[in-house]
Amino acid sequence: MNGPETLLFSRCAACGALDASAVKVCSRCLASGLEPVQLRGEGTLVSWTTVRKPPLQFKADGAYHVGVFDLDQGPRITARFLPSEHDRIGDRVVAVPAPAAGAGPERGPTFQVAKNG
Amino acid sequence: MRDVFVAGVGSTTFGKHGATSIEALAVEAAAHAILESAIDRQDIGALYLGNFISGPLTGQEVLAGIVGERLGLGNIPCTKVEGACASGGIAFRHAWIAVASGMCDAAIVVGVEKMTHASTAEVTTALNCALDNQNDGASGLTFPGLFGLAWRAHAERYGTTREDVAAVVIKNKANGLKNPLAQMGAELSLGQIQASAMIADPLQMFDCCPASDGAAALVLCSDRLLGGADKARIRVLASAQTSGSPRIANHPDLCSFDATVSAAKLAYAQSGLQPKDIQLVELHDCFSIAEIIDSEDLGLVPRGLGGKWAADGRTGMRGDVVINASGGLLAKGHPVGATGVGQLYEIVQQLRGQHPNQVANARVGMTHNLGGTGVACTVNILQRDA
Repeated sequence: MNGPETLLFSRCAACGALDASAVKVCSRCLASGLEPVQLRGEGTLVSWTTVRKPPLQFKADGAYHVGVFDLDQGPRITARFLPSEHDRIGDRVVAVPAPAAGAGPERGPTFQVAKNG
Repeated sequence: MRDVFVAGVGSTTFGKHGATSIEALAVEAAAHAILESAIDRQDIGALYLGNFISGPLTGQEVLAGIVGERLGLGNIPCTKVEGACASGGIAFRHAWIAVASGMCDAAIVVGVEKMTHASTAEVTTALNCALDNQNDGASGLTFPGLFGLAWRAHAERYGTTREDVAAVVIKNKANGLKNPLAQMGAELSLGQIQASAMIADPLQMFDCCPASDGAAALVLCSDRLLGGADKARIRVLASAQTSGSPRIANHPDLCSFDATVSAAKLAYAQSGLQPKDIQLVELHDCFSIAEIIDSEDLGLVPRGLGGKWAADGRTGMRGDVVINASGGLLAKGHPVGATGVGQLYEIVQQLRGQHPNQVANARVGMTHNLGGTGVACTVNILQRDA
């Protein structure tokens, strides 16, 4: 079977802090040596919603789901979500390939609740 | 720091002002505040203007200078302040600092926004400028979406129900009916709220404030310039501003905004008051669930009970603490850069005993203005001297 998708973060070479942003200065120690690091797309579901009034750049997506996830390796992230009927806050989630990624703006990773808990 | 008083206030109605330009709205509110203050314009030493999205929505910047010139304020410093939906509250705090510090004896704050000419998608896109778009933008999150996330988390942890949250909507819409400045007061039933369109689950249409046009203004002054004994002495007891994270990832708790908690703590310390001393508050109910979270963050309602207190009438006109007697953002409207100043206008009218939806014996009131993802917050406490 395929493992979860990985997520591109930065790690500070000086203090080890993880950061999702593209700013090349560490917010914890202000060092400039951030290095790319791949984190495992595994974690827990913090909350989710369905955006039915999107901004202009995502209008073609219609209604879509957005969740907040706590990755097992530390960081919390906001990302697209593919919910199913019995999902609950606290469920285990995995990052999956984006459905019909297609053209248009960057949408970041997509998560869904892990099968078999 | 010197004592600071509110000498005059002015406000347009909040709602649709299709034919009126953004500068005309600001000037109308500000001129009223200056005339009411009876302070000579030569004594006004600074203008601060709160505005969030006049650039993307009207193509007009340098509003502070435009408004200052139209008011005949000469070459005093005129400064536009932007802090998303807290722009007005932040502008007020700068005017307060200008007078409290002794830099000038009077200062004017104006908040203004014009939104209703734009489509929902255009307004959503403009408001999304207040996300940290490098981090949260790609997910497609919106502000209704953020509060949908918060609602689901609050419901899971505290058992807050659709009925509890609807109680906030019913209360604020009813209060709005009594406020002639309000955009959409209404007598609403739970059934009507439940039947309204889903916006960002579980948020429905009636859980969301409208887009609005409008302006509000206050003239602040030192004791020396405050008029005679015939005038109510409305004193600024505290003015606090704090920051929280612009990134959802750095909010450890979706059921609370750090910036509100810290600003409230500062405001209580500055004023020497406690939550139980606050009789009425105008707080930032951009969405129904936001009022519940704000009331808990401000310490006015026990943690987790914001929904239950609303449902039990404890935040109504005769409740333990009166929340949003004006109708709040939900009913009065939310011209985003004007809102924080509009909240202060409402509290001043209450403390003067002149409000059309008057809280009995109002003497101490609070305002709470929250910007973006809780990236900026102001909390003010005002008092009528006995």
